[in-house]
Formats: sequence, C-alpha cells, structure tokens
Amino acid sequence: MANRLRKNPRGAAFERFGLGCHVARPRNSVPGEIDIWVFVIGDMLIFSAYFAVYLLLDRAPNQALFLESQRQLSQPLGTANTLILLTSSLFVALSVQAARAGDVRTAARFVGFGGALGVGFLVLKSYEWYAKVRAGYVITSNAFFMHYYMLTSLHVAHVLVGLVFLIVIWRELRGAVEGVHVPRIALLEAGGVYWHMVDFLWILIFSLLYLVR
Amino acid sequence: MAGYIRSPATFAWAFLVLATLVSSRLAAAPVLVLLIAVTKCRVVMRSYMEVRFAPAWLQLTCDAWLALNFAMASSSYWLAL
Repeated sequence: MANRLRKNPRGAAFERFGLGCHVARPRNSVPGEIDIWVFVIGDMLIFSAYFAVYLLLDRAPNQALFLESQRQLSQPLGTANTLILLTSSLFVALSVQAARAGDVRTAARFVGFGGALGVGFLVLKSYEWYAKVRAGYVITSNAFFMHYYMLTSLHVAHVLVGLVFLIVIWRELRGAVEGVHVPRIALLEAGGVYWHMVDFLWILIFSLLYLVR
Repeated sequence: MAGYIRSPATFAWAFLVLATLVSSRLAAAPVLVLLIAVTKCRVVMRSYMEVRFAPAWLQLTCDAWLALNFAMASSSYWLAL
C-alpha cells in the first residue's frame, strides 16, 4: 500500500518544513469507492433541488416573512454547530491520513473524536429545536419554519447515517489495532467522503437559513 | 499525534474556522456570505475529500454543483433587491 501511494509536491513541501506526516493519494483515482460517489452526487442533487424550491419558489415571493422568521434563529448556536462539524471533519480526514501511514491506533482515536463531535452536533441541534418549539415556532408556523425543520431534519438524518459510517470505520480500525486484519483504506476513505459531504451540506444550509438576510 | 495535527488538513480547518467567523459578521452582504460558503465547501471537497487528486470528471462535477448553487442562491437575492 505504501508503494502505491505517493506524496504530492505540496505534501512533500509540508514534510520538508517539518509540518507533519502528509500521505496523499495517487492522482486520477476516485477517493473511496465509486459507489459512495454515486450516492454522494445523488444526495447533492437532491439538496440542490430543495435549495431551488426554498430560494426561488418560496423565499423570493415572501422576503419580509422569511427575513422576520430568520431573525428568530440563533446565529451563535448555528455558528457553534458549524465549528463542531468542521472540527469533526478535520479529525476524520486526519484519521484517514494516519491509517494510510499505518498508525491505526491514532487513526482509531481520531475517528472516535470525530464521532463524538458528530454526537455533539446532534445534541446542540436537538437543544435548538427544543428552544424553537418552546418559543412557539413549529413546522406549521409559516413557510420559513417549514423549510427550517425540513432542511435541518434531512441533514440530521444524514448525520445519523454518517455516524453509522464512522462506527464501521472505528470497528475496522480497532480490528487492525488488535491485529485481526489490515484496515481497508478504501472503506475508510468512503466513510470519510460521506462524513465530509454531511459537513459541506451543513455549510450551505447554515448560510442559507442563518446568515444570508 | 502532533505530526498529523500539523498537516495541510489542519491549515484547511483553520481557514474554514476563520471564514465561518468572518461570514457570521456579514449578514448584510448576502452575495459575499454565499461566496464564502461556496469557497468553504470547495475547500472541504478538495482538501478533506481529496477531490484534488480525483479524475477530472469528478472535480468538474463538484465545481459545477457549487457553481449551480451559488448562481441559484445569489440570483434569488439579487432578484429580491
């Protein structure tokens, strides 16, 4: 495996300056498996279709209502959740790098941190929903809150599936730590690709629902 | 562990955190917020998902998706002005 991988020039530069072990993948190869990309691109298209409905069909003709409703969302909570998910993604990316370098114990630890932060995202999101419902903003309140609950619920469903992926990766790495088998790097990459998709979808949802006014 | 933390992925993370904090202060500039969001997504795709090492068709698909969403979102806000 080590021979198949090569360091890219930028990674080599980072190593030359002592900036850590960076093992990159070979060029012109699909990260993970092609199957996961079919799934990811399908999800991207589904979310795009939803964004189109939100932006062009419902938001455009109801600017005042959407602006007023957006002000009821907690921007600090949304920002905190974004930072949590970005950090979680970093740990998962580092986990894949550690596994490639053969350091499966560190890789398992990193994916554990990533998963724990994913759970933290769900806890904070649940609190946010609870606070909104307590304040009287429910899915039937208006068109904005219908989209808010629909989009965030759809995203939470993806976070849950992503957490299952992370558990599978963690088990794979634990098996490698115990010497049961060699970790399947393509499986780790595929799980990572899915988890990072959850991350970038949230970046867009956060911008559209919480930030852009 | 410290060696991994000083990897390019961590530099990407620092950029993403900074961009998030900056964009949360720019609510009055919707197109700029959207541009930052799309840039963040591209960094996640190219750095964490390693799309920069992927075949051209996959890189183009990701960039086209980001361009589509940016065009859709920014046009809806321009129309509202």
